[in-house]
Amino acid sequence: MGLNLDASPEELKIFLEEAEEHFQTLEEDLIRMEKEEFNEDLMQEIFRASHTLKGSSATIGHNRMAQLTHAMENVLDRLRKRQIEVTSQLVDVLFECLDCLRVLRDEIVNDEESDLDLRDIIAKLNLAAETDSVPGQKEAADQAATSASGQQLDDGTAPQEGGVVKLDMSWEEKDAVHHGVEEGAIPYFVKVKFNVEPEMAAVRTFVTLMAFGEIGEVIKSKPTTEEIEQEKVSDSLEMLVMCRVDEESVRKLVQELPDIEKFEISEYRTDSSSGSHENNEETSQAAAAVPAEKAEKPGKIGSAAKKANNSKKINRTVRVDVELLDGLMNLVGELVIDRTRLFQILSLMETEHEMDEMSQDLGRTSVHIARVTTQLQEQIMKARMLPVENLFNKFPRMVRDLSQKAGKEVDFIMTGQETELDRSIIEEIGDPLIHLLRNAVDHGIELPEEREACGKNRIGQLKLQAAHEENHIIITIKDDGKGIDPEAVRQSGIKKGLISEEQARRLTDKEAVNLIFMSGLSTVKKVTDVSGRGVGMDVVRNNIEKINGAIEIDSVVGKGTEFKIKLPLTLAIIRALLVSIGEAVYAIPLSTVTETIRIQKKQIEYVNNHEVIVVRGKALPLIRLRTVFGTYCSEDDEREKLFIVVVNLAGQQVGLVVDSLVGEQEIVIKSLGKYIGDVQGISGATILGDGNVALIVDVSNLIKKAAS
Amino acid sequence: MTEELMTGDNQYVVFKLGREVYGLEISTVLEIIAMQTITEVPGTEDYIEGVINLRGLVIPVFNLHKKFNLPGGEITRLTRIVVVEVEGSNIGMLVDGVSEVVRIPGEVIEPPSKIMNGIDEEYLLGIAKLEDRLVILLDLTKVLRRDDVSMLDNFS
Amino acid sequence: MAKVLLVDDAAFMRMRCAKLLTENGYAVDEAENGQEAVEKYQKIKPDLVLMDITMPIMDGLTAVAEIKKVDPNAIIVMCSALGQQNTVMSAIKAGAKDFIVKPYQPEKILSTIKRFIG
Repeated sequence: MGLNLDASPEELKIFLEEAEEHFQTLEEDLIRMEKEEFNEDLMQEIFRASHTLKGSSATIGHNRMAQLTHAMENVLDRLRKRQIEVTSQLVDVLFECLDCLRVLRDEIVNDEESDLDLRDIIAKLNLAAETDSVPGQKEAADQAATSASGQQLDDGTAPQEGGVVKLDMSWEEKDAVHHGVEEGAIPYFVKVKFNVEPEMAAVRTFVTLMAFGEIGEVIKSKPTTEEIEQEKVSDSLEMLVMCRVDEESVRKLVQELPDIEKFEISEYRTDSSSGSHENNEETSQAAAAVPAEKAEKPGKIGSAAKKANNSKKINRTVRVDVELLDGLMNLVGELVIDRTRLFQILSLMETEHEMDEMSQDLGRTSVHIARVTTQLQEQIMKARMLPVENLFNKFPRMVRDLSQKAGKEVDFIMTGQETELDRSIIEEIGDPLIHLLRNAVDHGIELPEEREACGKNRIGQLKLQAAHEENHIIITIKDDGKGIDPEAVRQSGIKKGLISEEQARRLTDKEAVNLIFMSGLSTVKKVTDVSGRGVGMDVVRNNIEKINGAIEIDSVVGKGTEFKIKLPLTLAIIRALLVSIGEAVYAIPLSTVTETIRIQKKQIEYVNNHEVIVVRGKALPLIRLRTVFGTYCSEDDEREKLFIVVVNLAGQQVGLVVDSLVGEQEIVIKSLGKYIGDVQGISGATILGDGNVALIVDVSNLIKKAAS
Repeated sequence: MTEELMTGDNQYVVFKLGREVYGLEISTVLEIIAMQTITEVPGTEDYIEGVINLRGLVIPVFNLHKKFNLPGGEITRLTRIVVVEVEGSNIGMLVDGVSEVVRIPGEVIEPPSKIMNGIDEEYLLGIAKLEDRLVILLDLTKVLRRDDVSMLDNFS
Repeated sequence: MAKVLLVDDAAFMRMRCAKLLTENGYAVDEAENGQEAVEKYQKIKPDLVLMDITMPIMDGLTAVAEIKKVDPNAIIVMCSALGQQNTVMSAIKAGAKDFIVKPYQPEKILSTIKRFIG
């Protein structure tokens, strides 16, 4: 069933964008509200978010959302006035409400009403709004309500009585009328009946009174100004006004006033002969109740008018399916390959043929195509970037819920939310991060008592950090919990039959800890409903590696665990140095390359039986890629001239020995696929201009290997 | 699986490996391409010949001779790459020429027996006895299963 | 063409209102909060201000007072939600001319504006 909302698609888009902003504000602020001392600015911000949601949802006619935000606002209003206390139950209810709001938001997206039943949550909110209430205040409110409705009854009958109404007037008031008449003003008795929300009756009465104040002098009114201020109002207003205009003009004024259901106007007859008589006799003249103008211009604001120019302020954005962006990126990848191919053909033409007019033209066109390809690539890449904030936003809430469930106290700190990543990487990294955070809360951080027993702060710390590092994004998840016990992992590995005792013994502690990334291994004794089923860490690792990322673990028993996830900026394209080793061409990511050196064989020296060369006074360890990749042959030793590619990662430098340098170019990263799996020293593959596949050197892996 | 196989007709892509004839269910075969430059990937099992570029996709190529410990397997002008899809991945397999697509009725398929030597029984779905020859039907998922044992090697 | 300054922190509300007003022949300017409203008021001297109440940085009530200081004759109409009657009352006392209750009914906005600036 569609929702039949009263809004154009563009309006809905803005509405949804804003709603999302408010949801996120609520998400973040509710957590802060629970954690921090009472903070008025924060409370106002929370209130505003819910208030705006209420107004906007009512405007588009999403009644259920308006209803829910209304109930929510009541609670928040009382919270900001400090009439009720912030408790974790209350925060739970507010979060539940937020979840419901998201469901209601999705109703708009899907244009279909969900089966969400709001009664429960609204009841909870109402209950929350009432608990702890300051007694005096509520009574006063009740009183005001009854007095208002009481009056309503009195006055409800009056207008039907033929319009003869008395206003008790004091002597001074009568005198004022008399005086006015002598000055040429006409006294009118005016009675209006409002059609207004009861809450707004007082203000409406006040504004109406003011409007008459502008065309004349209000001698007396019922309710009086004081009564209005005390909200002792009903849905009607009677007054005596002295005006210098005719009745028709007064009538016109009243007709223009808003929220008026009906009104009566009559000239107020004083006893013209005496003016100071005790008995006030009024007769009504032409007192027929005239229904107020209710003429509503029928639906001109409908769809026909929707194409009218919108406010200039709206961002000129369109929604784009991620698949479309993926498709574009793939196409650009193909173009990048062809661009390389074009230049290869061109250089062949230059060397083998005379360059005639036509081939020069081809050359110029190729240069242009190359430039356009580069720009296209950059812009598509930019279109795909999103701050990780979009992903991180949901974590504080999740950590809060998890730690509550597990009975733990956790201080969750996030930094670097502004760091940008390719959106498909963000999508892929969500689940692994959730898993790691869950693990940290469930198995890393100890119960408060345990922590105190071992001299730690009872509140555990969990840090999530994103940062830009060269051509990568590094996401770290660090807890100060109990760490991973390598011995326990070894035992578990043996028990599960994943490794033999012999193998276990050979593993270093670090290697043992790394076993947690194997499928089927879990060291957790207690299985909770959130994690600890022994599936997971291998999935985490696979998911990360699928997108050319890497995960490292660093854990110290008793101190905590740190996971470091290294992610590429984009999934797709990097600059690389192409080198040849034997027949094969390899690509070395340019971001790791510091320089290339050509040396003589005799420059190689030996330190601890390892080959090194001295560059600017420093020994640079060498790695022969032929040896690494198993294409070593004795003729290597014959070679007099060698090419060294100096690479650097995290401060460590090594020289990669290659046969020759082929050139520098942009490459499109392709995975080797799961059937090939992990290959030492290779991070992926790419397709060269000639259509052949080249392998990409995993510099980080080689450096680590050299270091160990 | 085997029972299902033995009822009704199925079409198979039939190819040669050495002197034996093998069959793959036609729905698993994406295409058959001519031999092209294969980039060797160092450090992989020797039955992984390397990777190729299949219209922008990098796919691995298996050498079934080596996988099944069959003699021969030299690349000739008849060598083809059969591209199959297994569990969502595209994989190439080197074969010594593709003969045809044949329809094999379920009733001529027998369960694999021990008489086959050289090739591990677990890789087989069954053996079809046609009038003039035997066709060995391969269980692709088993043939191409990734060995998880290699993960351990990475630690040491 | 009469100028209306639309003050609301919700872009959605501004968009909707601006459309209604421009379609009905008003020139519309927008402000996101009270402070911006005060600044814009001085710059563009609108014939009428539609002022939301709950806004960040400077709320509508404060903005009414500020604008009235600059121009005692300013015509300001408050946009209120149910439950804000006290603030509306204060705003009226501070010099706002009238109020409209959200959710807006287009004809009500128009008739209110028309009453003050034709």
